[in-house]
Amino acid sequence: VSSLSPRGDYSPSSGSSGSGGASNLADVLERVLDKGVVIAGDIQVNLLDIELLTIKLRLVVASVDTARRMGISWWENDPMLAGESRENGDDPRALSRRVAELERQLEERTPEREER
Amino acid sequence: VSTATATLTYVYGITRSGNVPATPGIDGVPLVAIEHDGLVALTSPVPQAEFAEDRLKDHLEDLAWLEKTARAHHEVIATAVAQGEVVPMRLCTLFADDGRVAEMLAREHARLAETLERLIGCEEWGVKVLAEPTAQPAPADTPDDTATDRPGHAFFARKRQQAEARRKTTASIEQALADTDATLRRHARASVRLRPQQRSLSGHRGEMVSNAAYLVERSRTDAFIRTAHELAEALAPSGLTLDLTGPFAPYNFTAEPDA
Repeated sequence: VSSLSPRGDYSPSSGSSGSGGASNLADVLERVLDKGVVIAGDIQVNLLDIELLTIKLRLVVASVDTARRMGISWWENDPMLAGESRENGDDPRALSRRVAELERQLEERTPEREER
Repeated sequence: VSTATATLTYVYGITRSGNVPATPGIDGVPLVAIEHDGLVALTSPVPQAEFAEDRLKDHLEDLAWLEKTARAHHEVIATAVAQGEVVPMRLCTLFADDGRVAEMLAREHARLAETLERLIGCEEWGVKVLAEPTAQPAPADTPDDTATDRPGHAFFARKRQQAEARRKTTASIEQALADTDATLRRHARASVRLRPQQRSLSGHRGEMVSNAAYLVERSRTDAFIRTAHELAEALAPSGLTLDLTGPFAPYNFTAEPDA
């Protein structure tokens, strides 16, 4: 069940990461771009200024903890719920009041329901 | 003077005398070892036309160029670390010529030697935890709210239950991640948390709920891997997959530890 790939860096099977290469490109880039010793060479290129890197490769987040929460946020990605809370503000009582009113209106318009 | 043959010197990393891998560098060009006082810079010449400041910026925006260069850099470092300690440089550390590299080795000698010393016998392992999308509540279970007398009320009661279930699930994932990290750290000398990776680069499935790197002494590598296997088995029933990658050169541990 697990996707353990011990010594995966040297073997072509890199777990379930879905990469065909020896190492997942994300594993490589997050190391060679973001880490390693920074020594001022004769060619000055600030990797932080690179648009591709800042926009496509990095998550613009305040902290790793925030990033982790963002990673988990798919639990909250119910579009119906998210859409409603944006339209109506975040007060569930206001929503309940609206629903109660709508239910009342519905009952008025469909008297046959009252017969049940 | 032909600009077509003009080169710059690309530095991959610093190691000790005697640890020069046979792996070629960027564009398949053989490595050149530049030595100064016991330290060796692993370098290769690269075309100035491609790596000069004004060109480099454009190339770095080109994912295909970036991947080719990053993989060549990574390959040199991976081969060197399999043979001994290496301090990896950040991508595209470039000097005008070999003499300038020797000057750098002299200037940075104390810091580089100290870092090499600190990393002796260690390698880096990456551990990611992925949450399976199938762990979500199945949408097929959604009841038909309009079948009840009070459809709005039923709808919100159901949404409340789902929100509560999400809170509980998120809390239990947070706890499982904290426990996993604490257990792995018992076998590691140091650890760092990394950002979740971009799916377009990693190709991972599900959601990456944690991404971390551990500095592990080689004598403890077997215990670390065994522990990771045990943790993977423990996480699997919760729909969480543990992905272990490595060993890497200690890219994430080249900085001075906080005092």
